[in-house]
Amino acid sequence: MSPSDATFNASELVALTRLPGWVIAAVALALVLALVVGARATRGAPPAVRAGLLALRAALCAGVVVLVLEPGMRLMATSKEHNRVLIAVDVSASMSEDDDGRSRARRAADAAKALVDDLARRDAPFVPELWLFDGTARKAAPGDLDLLQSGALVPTGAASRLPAALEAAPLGNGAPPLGGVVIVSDGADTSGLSPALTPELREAALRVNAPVHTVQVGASTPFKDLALERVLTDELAFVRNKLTIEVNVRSKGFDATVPLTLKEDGRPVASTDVTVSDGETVKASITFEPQRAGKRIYTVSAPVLADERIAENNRVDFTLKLIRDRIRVLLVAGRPSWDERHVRRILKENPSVDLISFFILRSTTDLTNAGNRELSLIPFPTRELFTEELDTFDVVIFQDFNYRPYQMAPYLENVKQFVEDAGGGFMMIGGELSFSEGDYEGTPVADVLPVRLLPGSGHVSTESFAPLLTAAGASHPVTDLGELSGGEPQGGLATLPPLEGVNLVAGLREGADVLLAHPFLNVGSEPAPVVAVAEVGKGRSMAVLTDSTWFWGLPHVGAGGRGDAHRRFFANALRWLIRDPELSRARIVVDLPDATRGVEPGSAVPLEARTFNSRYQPEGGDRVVITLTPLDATDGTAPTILEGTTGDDGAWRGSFEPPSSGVWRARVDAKAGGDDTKPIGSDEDAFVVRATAAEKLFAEPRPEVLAALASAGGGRAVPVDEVRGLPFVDRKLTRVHRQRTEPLWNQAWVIGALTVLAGAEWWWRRRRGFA
Amino acid sequence: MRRRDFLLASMPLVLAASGARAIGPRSEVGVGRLKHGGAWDARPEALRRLLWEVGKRTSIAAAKDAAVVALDEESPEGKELFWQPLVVLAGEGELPPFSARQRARLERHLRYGGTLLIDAPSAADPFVAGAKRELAAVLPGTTLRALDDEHVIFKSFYLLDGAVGRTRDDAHLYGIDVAGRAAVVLSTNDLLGALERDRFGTWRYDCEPDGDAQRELAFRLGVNLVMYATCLDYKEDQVHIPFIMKKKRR
Repeated sequence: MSPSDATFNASELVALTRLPGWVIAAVALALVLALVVGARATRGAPPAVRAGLLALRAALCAGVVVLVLEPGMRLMATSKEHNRVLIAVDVSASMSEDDDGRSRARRAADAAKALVDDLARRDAPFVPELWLFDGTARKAAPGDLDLLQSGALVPTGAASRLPAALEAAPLGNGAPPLGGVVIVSDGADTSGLSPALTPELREAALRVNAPVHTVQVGASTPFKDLALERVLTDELAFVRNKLTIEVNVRSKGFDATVPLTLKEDGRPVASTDVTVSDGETVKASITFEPQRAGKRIYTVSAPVLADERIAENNRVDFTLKLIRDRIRVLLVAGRPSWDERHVRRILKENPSVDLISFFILRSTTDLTNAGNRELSLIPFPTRELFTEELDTFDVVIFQDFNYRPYQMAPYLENVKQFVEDAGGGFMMIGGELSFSEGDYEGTPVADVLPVRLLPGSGHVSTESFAPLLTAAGASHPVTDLGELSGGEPQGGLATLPPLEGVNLVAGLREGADVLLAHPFLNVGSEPAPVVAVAEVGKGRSMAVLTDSTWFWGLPHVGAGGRGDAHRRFFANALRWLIRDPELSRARIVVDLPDATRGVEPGSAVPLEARTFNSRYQPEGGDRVVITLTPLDATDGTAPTILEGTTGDDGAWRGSFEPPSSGVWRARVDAKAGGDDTKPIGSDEDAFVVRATAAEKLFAEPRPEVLAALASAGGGRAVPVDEVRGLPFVDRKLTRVHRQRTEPLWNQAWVIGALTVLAGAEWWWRRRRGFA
Repeated sequence: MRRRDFLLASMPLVLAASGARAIGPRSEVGVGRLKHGGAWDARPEALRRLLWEVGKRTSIAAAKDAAVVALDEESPEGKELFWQPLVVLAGEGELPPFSARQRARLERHLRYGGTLLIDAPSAADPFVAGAKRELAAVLPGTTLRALDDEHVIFKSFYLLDGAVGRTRDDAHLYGIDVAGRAAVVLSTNDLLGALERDRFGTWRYDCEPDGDAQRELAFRLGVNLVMYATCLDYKEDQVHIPFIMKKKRR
């Protein structure tokens, strides 16, 4: 050994051979055979001689073993491994609360220091490792505990997540052994953690594989508070349908019956009473019937009770997207036909459509051979429909219908206003009684059509044709016919039966788009439109200039198709006509990490506005005006207006720091290329800015949560002044810092000894006559 | 003879009126006459006459004649099947079984919106049994049931008390519902027999027992069936109910 070997404090015998296992096995077998042969060959010899010869052969075999295995000595410098004890101290804002003359944070620092001192005094090698956590965990810097203890470091974490304390501990291969975890906290978790914990948290506590102790900081006894914790409801609901929301009401120090009020956009819509008991959380249900579609903001509130510690958590805001349950459609058909029949069937079978239809079953020239009493016909209530009831509809469809015989001329202006001013949807479907053939040229209805009508009649073609999908149609939602469009030329239209017959027009209204065009008939230099759409004032209109789209139904099935192109076409058309928010050409998105809980006070709200052209492709260079309006500001906060222009990706991005708390509505109004005369759409979203940070709302110490966590982790939950003596696990691991291996077999005396042994055995055997 | 002259003289007007009422022949409301292995063409003129009456009595732009359709895929008649949402299966005597492929095509037609009117000379005719056998194979698990007096077919245009045809042995129509509508309707009163007449305008069969008054009711039922095929349950919309109830009470 060299002089430095003195620093090694452990050694072990090792084999240095690199021979494969089968060679070693073969050698071992050969040695056994050599021993057996040697024993058999010396039969009859005097016992002393035989024993001596066998001893010599055994010694020789042992020498061969040494040669094969190449023994060596491993010298090691080792030390005993210390066990980490992870001490995670809560530094969320609630720890700055002062319960009894000394802040929770300072008490937590006292406890952590006491624990460090306790560990240092133990015989078992435990090393404290200090972490700080709030929403996340980080290793404490040297001196952090002192700063915390002195009050120089004030906890300001905006959230408390007890799981973060467990996530701090590096586990697994290579990590130093863990003797245990100690969480020093008030338990005021802001992620909504209940004593039931969560499966993930329970699993995390078990994964530590060491005791998880909790140290309770803060006094809960004098704390009196009523808190509306969270609302349970779906993100989507239907207007004019009863909706029940549930809200968790937690009471600390109160046994009372409390009225709860539900407000929609600041207006009371429902109320209920809930009876609460000290220390319990009860679920209150409120049922109401929302009336207006769109994203609405709701507030559930309870009065502030006497001596209540936190008033701000007596209110909870949430947003709800309300969609209309049914689209009211008025279908007026000039005559029964297969086209009418297919459209009616599609609308009737659509669960989202409330269909009111009127068909002209008999004209003035028809001879029924029967008196009126023998007929099931009813009067066509034009006045009621087109004056009193018109605004109750979302979409009006004129299908192969001529208005003249029914004295409807005075009401056509109402139809125009229904579209332009009331934002209704209007569709005209072709036929011998539609468009110019229906004598609409020059009427108010013509003003809202996407096409310009020819004067007089006779403007029809009866030829068969396969319509062409235009560039606008290729990206427009109306002509998205599903799988049919996927990857096939002309969006798969060629797989549909050709259409037959088209109403001819003078051209397109300004700003209108043709989605399907005629393959060989032209209007001027452009293909004649077959399906065209237009934005008209606040509403939308659509022209289907043929009565043969039903060919995409049953006849398509006969040709081996699925027959759903017709259904999909009309379903798309309805959604587009009613300005289904999902199909709006201007969108605003307020993307919050947790929309239901709202924005922290002082936080910026990210905003993104997107615009699309009439072909539903992202459009750059559009002017967007974002109006941010506080809906329940009591301090007279004025709306904030942000303006911008969409980039090449069709998006404008910005942020907004709300000057006041409460509910806010974000609305985007977009104009094409900044031209005020070309509005392309609007959209709304809503968000809530909390009046008080969650840390303040959920500041109440929660020993029950800490106790549950300690129980799940196999540890103890102890008060802040009883941290000494907590049990930890000593893994008894040894760490090798340095090692060296010395071969033992390649010494001269080993070779010499083997040679002498072999010679002696051979000489003795020969002399005794056994060789 | 004078009647024949009148009809011949008026025919161009009728055709002209009919031809001007749709943009393209496929947009006219027609009927498919289903060609099968039995006596499928025993009433060859009845549906032409029915369509003429439909065009005259209602606002429907009716086709001039019924189209012959078949259940096979290859023939021109077979290709026509799915262009005719209303198909009439008529005959007398035995109805030879359809092949599996023919049954599958008929099922597809009915399930995707088609309507099948079956007309038999009488309930005792073997054609009824054959038709029921085919229906059981085409729409397994469904039931042919008598349509009640309030069914929309009896009020889709005319207000009717029941089913009639050349005979009035059974006041019921029978139907099979598919997706909430009567996709199959069976008449056993020889409805087409009441509508059948020759090219000279002579009714081919007498209606029993009530003669021409009964024939008029048969036409009305025919009109109602076409109206039902095109308007479905329109007359069951809430807006119609009080008017129809009022008329029926009178």
